[in-house]
Amino acid sequence: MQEKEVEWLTKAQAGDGDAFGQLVETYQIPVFNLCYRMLGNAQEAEDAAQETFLRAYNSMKSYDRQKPFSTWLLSIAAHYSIDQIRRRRMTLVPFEALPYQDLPDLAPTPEAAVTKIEEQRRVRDLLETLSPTDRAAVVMYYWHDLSYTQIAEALDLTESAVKSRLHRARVEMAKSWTYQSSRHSIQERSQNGSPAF
Amino acid sequence: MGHQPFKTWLFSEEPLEPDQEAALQAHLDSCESCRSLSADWVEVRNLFTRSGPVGPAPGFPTRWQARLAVQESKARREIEQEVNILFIGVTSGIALILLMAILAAGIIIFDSPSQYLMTGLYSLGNIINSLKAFENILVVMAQVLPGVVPASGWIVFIVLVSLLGVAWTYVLQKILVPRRTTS
Repeated sequence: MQEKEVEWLTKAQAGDGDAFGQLVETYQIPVFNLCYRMLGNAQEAEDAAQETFLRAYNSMKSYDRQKPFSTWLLSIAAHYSIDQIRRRRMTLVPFEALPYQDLPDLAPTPEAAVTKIEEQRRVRDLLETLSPTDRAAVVMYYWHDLSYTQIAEALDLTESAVKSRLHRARVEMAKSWTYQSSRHSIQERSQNGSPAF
Repeated sequence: MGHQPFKTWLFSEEPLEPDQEAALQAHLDSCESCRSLSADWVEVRNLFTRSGPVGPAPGFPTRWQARLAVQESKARREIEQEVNILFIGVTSGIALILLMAILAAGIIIFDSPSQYLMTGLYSLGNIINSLKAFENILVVMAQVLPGVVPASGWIVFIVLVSLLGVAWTYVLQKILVPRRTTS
């Protein structure tokens, strides 16, 4: 943990709003990324990320300084996103029905932006095949470089449960890859006005 | 041929022992489905590596500050409502206890309900007479004071009342307008 961050954390725990503002500035990308990967929608991810910081702000006093702040924050974000996905299921809104919203500043050129958007869409489709908890474990492992122990702590699981969930998720995503590749190429041909369509 | 433990090794992120590595390679050479699964997993891994972390639209901290201000203002309103409800509850309770005490005292002191009622009416009459007397005093003061108090005294009085009004407005603003918690 950097010296500055330690200072912000100390001040934020003492109720200093400015110091917490600095933490928001520092952790906005990891928190937003986790919410975005979990929910697959930029607007929902923005709401979830803001809610995560509000919850963290309100319970700063309960944060244990012996543990990494990022893991604590990502744990709040993951639990909130899992709840949101479950609530969405209760109201019978399928993942695919949500509008796909482009993210700002994805790439410098329009061509690169199209490729990036396509990549993000494929990642979303892959993660969609997983259960909310498996999805959180995958995002924490591959995007946030959290260890098995940290993921277990963040998701209230045992280390072996995390390993088994990650293994299951990898198999699931590899199996989905072929199916999704064929589906995407059909969609592309359809959009490009191929004679077959 | 069985796919285990090769399937486990295939998706393991831990480094394999050299003999495990060799056995897995031999299995992949002979097993089409595992080879295909392995290639797909490599593609997925590459996709994850390419699509790095994504950030929110610019101005996220500012939007968060605004949301925090809304939340704090809502929380403050809820506390005020709770305090109001508590105040009304406590004062109503005290009033009820006093009423019960008066009723109980009346039952003990007086012989009959009619005597109780008559005494109550007599007390009410006294209160009305007192108010009337107070009104008379105010009328007399209004007639006498303008002649007694000099003009400078009235000016001082008006200035003091104005200052009290300003102080009252300032205190109200301090209580009602939400404060920024962060920059």
